Amino acid sequence: MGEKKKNLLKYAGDISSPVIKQDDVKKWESDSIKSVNDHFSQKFNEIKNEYSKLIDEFKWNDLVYKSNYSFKPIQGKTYHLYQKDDNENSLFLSIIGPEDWNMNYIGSFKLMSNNKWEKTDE
Amino acid sequence: MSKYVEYKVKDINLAEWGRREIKLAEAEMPGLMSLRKEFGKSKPLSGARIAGCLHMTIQTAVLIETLIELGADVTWSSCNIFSTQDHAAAAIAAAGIPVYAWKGMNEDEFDWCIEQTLFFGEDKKPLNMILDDGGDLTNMVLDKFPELVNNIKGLSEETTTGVHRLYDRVKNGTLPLPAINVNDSVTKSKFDNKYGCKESAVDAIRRATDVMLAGKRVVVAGYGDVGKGTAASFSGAGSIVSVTEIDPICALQASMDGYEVKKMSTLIPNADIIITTTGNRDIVSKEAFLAMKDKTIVCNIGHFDNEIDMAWLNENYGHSKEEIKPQVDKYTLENNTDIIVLAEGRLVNLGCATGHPSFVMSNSFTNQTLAQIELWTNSKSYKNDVYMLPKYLDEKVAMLHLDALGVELEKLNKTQSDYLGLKIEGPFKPEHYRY
Repeated sequence: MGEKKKNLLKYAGDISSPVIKQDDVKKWESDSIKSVNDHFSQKFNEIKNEYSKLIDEFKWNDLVYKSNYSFKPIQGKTYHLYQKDDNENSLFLSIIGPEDWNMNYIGSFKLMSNNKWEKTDE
Repeated sequence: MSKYVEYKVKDINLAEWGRREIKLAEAEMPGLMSLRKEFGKSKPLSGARIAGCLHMTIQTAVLIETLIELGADVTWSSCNIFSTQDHAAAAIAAAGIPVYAWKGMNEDEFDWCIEQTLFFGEDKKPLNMILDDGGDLTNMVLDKFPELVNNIKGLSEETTTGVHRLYDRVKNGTLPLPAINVNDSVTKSKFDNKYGCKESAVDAIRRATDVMLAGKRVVVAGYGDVGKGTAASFSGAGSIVSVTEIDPICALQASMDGYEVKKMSTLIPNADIIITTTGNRDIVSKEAFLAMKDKTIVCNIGHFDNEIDMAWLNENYGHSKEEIKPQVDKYTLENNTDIIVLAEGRLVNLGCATGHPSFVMSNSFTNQTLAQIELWTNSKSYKNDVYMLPKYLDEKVAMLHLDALGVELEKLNKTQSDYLGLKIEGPFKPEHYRY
């Protein structure tokens, strides 16, 4: 095997050569990967939270819309969801607040301008 | 006991609209307005705490405010879960009157609303008078709050169904207070039931379905006062009306008024519209549903939803129910026959239209007001029984409505009154006269 090619050395091969220090690519790489992983993880959590909030909202809206009521709710007003017995079909929406009677209370919901029910946790 | 709730209505913002219609109705309710003039100063109902349970409509709002003008404190609920006019309820609430009523409540909410009317104000003073329609308020007080009965001077009952319940209680010895049967005043049942339904039965079907009524075969179940008005309503619209009856007298009346009288089972297969007016249960049964033709319209203008066997229909074909629009549901039976049910089998003229016109309601509500005055001011002369308003008050109710129609009334002279053995000012008919 012949002599190593000086121009490819990662260190100084001559007394007169300048100090050669390699860039710490590994560290940069590792830092960068960590950083990007953190970013993705953060973003993923954000999306996950948003998704789970959306699913939550979807489920509540589904529940409220599928509950029993025979009046036309008004946008901007809050209504209260109750379940009469174990059967999910016994869910009903009422204008009577939970403090006004003794009924199995599920939650309170405000009808928004886009007809989305927003849980108000009254 | 839960906290005091001032009122519960669907939307208080509807109050202004309600007030405008109340003002309009006042002009069409001369009986009530005359009572305000006559008793507005003397306030014979001072001290009365009247809990009312009667359809919360614009006309009822005029009744409520008449009772207040006469000195009473009033709380109100509706006697039907679909009958409230939300703007009427809002106007009453906005006037500071405790009202618990909205259109489209469920049965738990219905009971809750009635219960709220039993106690007045923050200090929860109990009611001392009942004004009822159908007996739900009466039953709640008598069965669930019997401790309140001692304070109550009396009750007035608006409808046939409620009156039946009262007579049952008399028979069983369970009526603990005097009651006035407003329903059977001539100026109530013959006017509200008959002329009211004559106006509103057809109105309800048209608003709900837009169906052409001329030439359609209509079955009217029952030919009492409501049945007579309902049959006349469809007849006036050009429908071919048939009647079912159990009572030979009413059956003969229907027949001689020109209606075919047959059994429900005979009439059902060809019927386009079936409307129940009986006050009895199971009039439109499972067998009737199964014999109906496609797109038959079924509704009730009596009191309860059990005139039509909705329980059976919902249990067996509830899965096929499709809401065409509010108060109009289509059920598809096994043979692919669609049945259109209005107002879920409850009062169709209130669920699908706006009920009786103000003028006719003024008759019955003037009776109600006079009954409340009589029971409140004169309770000691009544035992725990069911009474009718005396004939002279019945005639007074009619008299208070004549001017508004431009009626000129003849007057007996002395010779004529002596000849008939009547007082010049009446009463003009004996108690047993049937009009």
